[in-house]
Amino acid sequence: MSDTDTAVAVDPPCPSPASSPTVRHHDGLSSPVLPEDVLLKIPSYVSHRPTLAAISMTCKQLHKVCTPLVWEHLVLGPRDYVPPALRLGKRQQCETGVGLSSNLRVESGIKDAEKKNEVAALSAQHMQQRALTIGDSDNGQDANLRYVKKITIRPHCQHFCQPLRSPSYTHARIARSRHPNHGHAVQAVAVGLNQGQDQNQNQIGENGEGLSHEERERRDGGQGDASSVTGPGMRLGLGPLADVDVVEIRIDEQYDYHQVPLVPVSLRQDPGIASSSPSSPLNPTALMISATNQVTSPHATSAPRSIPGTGSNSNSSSTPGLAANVLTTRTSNVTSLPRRFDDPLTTNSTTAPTTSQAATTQRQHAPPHIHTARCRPAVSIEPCHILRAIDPKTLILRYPDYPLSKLPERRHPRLEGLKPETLIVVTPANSVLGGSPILQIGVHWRRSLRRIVWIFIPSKPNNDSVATSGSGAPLALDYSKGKRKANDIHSSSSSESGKNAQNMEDMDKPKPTKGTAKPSLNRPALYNYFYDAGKCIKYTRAKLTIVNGDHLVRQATVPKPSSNLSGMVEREAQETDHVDTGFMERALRKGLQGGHETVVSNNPVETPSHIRDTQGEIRFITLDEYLLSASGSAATTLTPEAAVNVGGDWRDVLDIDDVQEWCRASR
Amino acid sequence: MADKPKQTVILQTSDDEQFTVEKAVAERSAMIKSMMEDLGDQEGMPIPLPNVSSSVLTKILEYCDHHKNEPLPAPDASDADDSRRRTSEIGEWDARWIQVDQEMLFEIILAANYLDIKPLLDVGCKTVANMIKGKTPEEIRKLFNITNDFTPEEEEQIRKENEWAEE
Repeated sequence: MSDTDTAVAVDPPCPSPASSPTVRHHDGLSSPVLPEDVLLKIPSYVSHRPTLAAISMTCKQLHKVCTPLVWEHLVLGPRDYVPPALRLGKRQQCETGVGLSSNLRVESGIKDAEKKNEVAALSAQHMQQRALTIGDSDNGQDANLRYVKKITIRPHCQHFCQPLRSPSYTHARIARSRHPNHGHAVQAVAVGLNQGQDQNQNQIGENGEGLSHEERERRDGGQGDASSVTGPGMRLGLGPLADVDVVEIRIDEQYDYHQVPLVPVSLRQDPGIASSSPSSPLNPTALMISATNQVTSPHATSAPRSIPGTGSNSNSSSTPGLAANVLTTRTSNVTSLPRRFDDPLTTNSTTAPTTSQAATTQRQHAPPHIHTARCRPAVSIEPCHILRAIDPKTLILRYPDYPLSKLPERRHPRLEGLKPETLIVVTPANSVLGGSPILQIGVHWRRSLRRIVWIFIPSKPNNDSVATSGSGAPLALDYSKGKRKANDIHSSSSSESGKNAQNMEDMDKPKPTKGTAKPSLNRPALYNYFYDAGKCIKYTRAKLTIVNGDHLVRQATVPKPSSNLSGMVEREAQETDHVDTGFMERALRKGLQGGHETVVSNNPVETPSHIRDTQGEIRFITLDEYLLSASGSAATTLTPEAAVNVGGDWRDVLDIDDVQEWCRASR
Repeated sequence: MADKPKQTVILQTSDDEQFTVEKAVAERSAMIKSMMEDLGDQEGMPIPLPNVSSSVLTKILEYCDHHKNEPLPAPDASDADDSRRRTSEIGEWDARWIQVDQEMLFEIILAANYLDIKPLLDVGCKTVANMIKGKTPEEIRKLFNITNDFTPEEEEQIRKENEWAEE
C-alpha cells in the first residue's frame, strides 16, 4: 500500500476540468455527477429489465442507450437466463407421456384421452359435456382457463414420467441468428436434457399434482432462475450474444406423425437397443417416445373405451383404443383422429388407424389414463418453429410446430412479460393436424390481443399429403406457373397485372390429378382450426384475419369426382355443395357460440367474406389480397416463389421487417 | 539475497498532495502507464492527476495495491466486453472496499474513468447499477442529476413501449 509522502510545493494545480455532461442537470448539485460517457455506460451494467426500462425513461440519451439493451431482454432474455423452453419439453413429457410433443398432440391427445377415459365411466351425455369443456361453457374465459387447468394437471403424472428419463429423445435446439435481412448465418446449439433434469421434472410432475393452474405456473416460474434448472447438459453455450438481432428457439417437435417412421415399443424397453438407437439430439429419428412403464401401471384397470370414427374401437372391450400412441410399429399405418370433431356430417370422413398385432397386444395392457391415439410417437420432419418478436406488440408464430398449449407466455424466455397486440400465425396449408394454437393464444394473451392474422402458406410439394400432378407439383396451390414477385403487383403495367391476376386465379384453381388425389388438409383438421378460431375471437375479442383460408376450404372440400373437372367447375361444385362447405361455418358458429349474435357467411369459399359478431371479426382474404394489401417493400413479404419453397427457410416467406411494415400500414 | 529496489512513481493529486507508489501499482492505471511510457525515465518527476483528489486517490491506490498482481485487462477488451460487465459479480473484497457513500462512489468512478482503470470502473458501475435497481425513472434522475428532456407525450409513449419490460 502506498503511503502519503510529504506534500511538495508545486505549481498551482491545473483547474479541474470539470466534465460537462450533457445528460443532466438538476439545479443545486451537491454530489458529483457522472460524466456523460460514464453515465451512458451504466445501463450496460444493468441486467434487471425493469431497471433498464426505468433508465430508458429518464432522458433521451439514456433511452437511446437503453433501448437495445431492453430489447436484448426481449429477444434473448438475461444473459445468464436458461430458457424455460427446456423445461417445457420435460413438462410436456411429464404430462403427455411422450417426449417433446407439439401443441396439438398434447392438447388433442389429452383431450381425446380424457374424453375417452370417461366414456367408460360416464354416460355419453356426460362425456359430451366433458369433451366440450371449451365450447359449451357460457362463461367464456373462465371456461377456457378451466380447460387449460384441466389439461395441465395429470393425476398419474409420475407414471407417465417414469419411462421418460432417458435423455435420448428429449432435447431442444436453440438457434440464434442475426437479423434475416442482414443475411447472417444461423448458429445452432444443441442442448440436451440430462437424466437429472428429467428426474427433476418428475418431481415437478408428481409434486405438482393438485396444484391449481396458477400455482403451478408460479412454481414453474420459480424455476426460471439458472440455479434451479441449470445442470449438466443444461448450459446453453450461447456464447457472446452481442449483435444478435433475432433468436430462433428451435425445439424438435414431433407433430407430423403421418410422415415419419415409428418404432416399436420394444426398442424403448431394450436398453441396448435404445442406447444404440439414434439418440443424437440433432437426429430427429431419435425422438422416439415410449411409455413402457405404463403397461404395468397400477392404473391399468381399464374400462372399455371406444374411439368414435376409428377402427380401434372395433376391438373388444379389452382393447383400450387410446393407447395407440406408444404402441405402433414401423409398419403401422397411422391416421390422425379427429380432435373435437363431432360433426356427424364429417365424422365419417376420418379413417380408422390400422395398428399392428403387436400394437394391439400392447394396447390391451395400457392403463386407462394413457390415451393417446393422438399422442403416438412421431418424428418431426420440420423440427424448427419460428417465433419472432417484431416488436413488443407484434409476434410472428409458426404453427403447428410451436407448442403453445403448454407454454404460458411468462415461462418462455422470449415471451416473458410480453403482451402482444398483434399476432401473426403462419401455418402450412397442407398441415394435416387439427387444432390450432389460436385458442391457447387467446388464453394466454386474451387481455392484450387485438388482432390476429392467420396466414396459411401454400405448401411445398408433397406427394404424401398434397394432391399432385404427374410432375409432383401441388395441385391446388401450384404457384410454379405464376413466377412473379409480389413487387410486380405494384411495378408491372396494367396488362401485366391482369396477367398476373389471371395467373394467380389459375393458381388458385385445383388442377386435375393424374394419380390418386386427396385433399391436403382433412376436414376434421380444418374444422378444428376454425372452431378454435371462433373460440379465440370470442375470448380475445380480437379481429382475426385469415389469409388464404379459402384455399383450405377448397382443398378440404374438393369432391373426388371433381378432380377431372376444370377449376371453375370445381369451384362451382364446391359452392353448391353446401354440405361440404358448411362444416366450417358450423365450426365457427360453435366456436363463437355463447349467446352472441353471429352472422356467418353461407359460402366460405367466396372471398372476401366477412364473419362478424359482436365481439370479434373474422375476415377472410385471399393471398392476392394479402399481397395487394402490403405496401411498398412489404409486398415481398409473401411471394409465390417463396411460398412454394416453404419447406425450406421460412424466412424466405415471412420477412420480419416487411411484416412489420405491413402491420403498420394496415393499422 | 537483497531485494531489488521497487520502482516508484510520484503521483500528484488535484489538491497538491503527492503520493509515492510502486510502479506496478500505478500501472494499474492505463493512463498513468502510457504517460510513464511517453515521458520516459524521468525519475522524481511527479505525474499530475488534476482530476483526482487525494482522498479519492488514496482509496484508488488501495484498490490498485490489492489487485496489483492480477493481469491487466487487454487494451481492446473494453466496451465490447459485455460479459465482463454483466455476468461477473463484484468480488467480496471489492464489495467491501466499495462500501462508501455515494459522493465518494461517484468520485471513484470519475477517477477510474479518468485514470482508465477498467476493473475499477466496472466495480463502480456495477455498484451504481445495483444502487438503481428497482428505482423509478424519477429517482434515477434525481440520483444522477438528469434532466428530463422528454415531452409528456414522448414520456407516455416510452412508458407504453416499455410496459412489457417493467413487469
